[in-house]
Amino acid sequence: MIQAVEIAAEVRAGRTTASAIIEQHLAAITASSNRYGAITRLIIERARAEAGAVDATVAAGRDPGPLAGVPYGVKDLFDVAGLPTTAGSALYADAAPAAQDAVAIQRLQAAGAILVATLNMDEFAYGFATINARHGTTRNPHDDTRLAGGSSGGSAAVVAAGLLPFSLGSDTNGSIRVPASLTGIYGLKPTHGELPIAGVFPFAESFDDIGPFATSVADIALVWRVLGGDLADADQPPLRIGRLGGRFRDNIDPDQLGAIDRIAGDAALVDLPDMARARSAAFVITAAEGGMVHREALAQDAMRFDPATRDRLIAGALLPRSLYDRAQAFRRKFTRALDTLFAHHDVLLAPATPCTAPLIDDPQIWIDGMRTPARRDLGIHTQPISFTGLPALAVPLYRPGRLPLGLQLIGKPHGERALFRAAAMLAEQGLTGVAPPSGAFEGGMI
Amino acid sequence: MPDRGPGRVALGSLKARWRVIARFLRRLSRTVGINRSSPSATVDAIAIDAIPRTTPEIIAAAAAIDMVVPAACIPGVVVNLAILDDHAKLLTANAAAPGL
Repeated sequence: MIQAVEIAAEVRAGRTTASAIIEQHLAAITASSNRYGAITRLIIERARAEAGAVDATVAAGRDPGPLAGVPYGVKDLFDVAGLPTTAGSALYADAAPAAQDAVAIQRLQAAGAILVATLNMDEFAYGFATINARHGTTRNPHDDTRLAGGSSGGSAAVVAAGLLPFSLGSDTNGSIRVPASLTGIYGLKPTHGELPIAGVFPFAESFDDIGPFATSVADIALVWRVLGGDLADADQPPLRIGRLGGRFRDNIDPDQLGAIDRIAGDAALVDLPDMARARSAAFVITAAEGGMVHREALAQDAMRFDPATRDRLIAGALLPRSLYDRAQAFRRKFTRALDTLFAHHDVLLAPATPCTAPLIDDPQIWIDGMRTPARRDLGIHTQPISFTGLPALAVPLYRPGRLPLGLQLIGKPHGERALFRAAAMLAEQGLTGVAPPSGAFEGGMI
Repeated sequence: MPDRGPGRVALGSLKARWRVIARFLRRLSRTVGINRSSPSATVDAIAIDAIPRTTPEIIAAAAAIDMVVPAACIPGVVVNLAILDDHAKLLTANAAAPGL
């Protein structure tokens, strides 16, 4: 698969043009006939105009930026100037067009990247499955009878299929890390508040973050930096890697367990107290905040919501304030307790999902010996981490020919650089890395 | 004289019927002291005291925030509130570690 850093290097050097790259990717997307149900809108005219501008910059002897000519897509909840921001809902299909791009898109454009598509998601980002009443279900490029995960499933599927080198999603409880794990690519949930959220449709505002998907550590680090990732912490001491124990080792695939123990088998297991309560608190806060965002619209016309999200949002809107306050109070204490763990670790390892991608026709998974809905529970290992605001990078175990599975590398606040270093080290050792699905678009320089 | 009170409306659409019930429960909720929230869409607006579980409780809680839950949504809302109630119980159970 062609990577963003390679495209940008070629375009900046004048060895290829942004226009040629964009046409190549648009042709591949068109040829795919949206077979994964990942793309909601193609932005062709704008993409061609921006590619022309990048080429003109190069022709004039100036540098178009570190992502020169790199095509990308965004989850359908980013403001794109001139288009309604739908958040995957029919409710906003005819909303007034956004007056300007989300800040993240503005920064990527300033770096030379070219927006070509908006991408499928669970309505209002409420789910881990990308089963959408309006746009259909996003299919996994490794096996199109299976889910791609969610809620940023479209963003993951286009990258896993090789149709775009990178994309942006949002992660409230795991909505980047879950689909990254199920489609076998990298996905970053940054430190809470690290990357610009302005111009992104909210879900649960005290958890919401945006982040990139990509097929290499270099690409994901580059996009993170362009978006505003903090470059501090230049010295590189040896990494202290630990393993999360307890519930993180209860619902886990043997391959994930084996990989974690190979990477850090000598490290003591770190047990987080009250993990189940943390997930419950996250569940309550998410439901309450999500319900409040949509309360007015639910009161006006609840029946226009996707049935799969509507009843969850109504339930959230009806939660008592006292319970929400209690969940937030627990969250503050839990976060403080977790912070102390990072006095001894730079990176903690955990599974990203409890299993491989579930079947679309039977979207259930096993949790604690019981079958539960994938849409609700695929984030069992990501949700407690989002709860703390810590950064977490989903990395794919390297297992060609098999369904993908990922690990989470969890860092201290603003410790993304340590996550990238650890991910690069694991890729170098051959433990992690992207194994493209058969039929993936390989790209190549023109 | 034909009845022009709530009973007449109740013979109309299902939606109208739910509105009447909700209005009645809203009045009832005021008399029994359930707080009403402001209509602004912030979490500060959540101002009821317990997780509603039954249909009448759901209708009353929704009315307290000026919302009418469509009849078709009630079964799904009941299921989701039951899940949230389980999480609430776990959250408020005794902590496994001191200080949490």
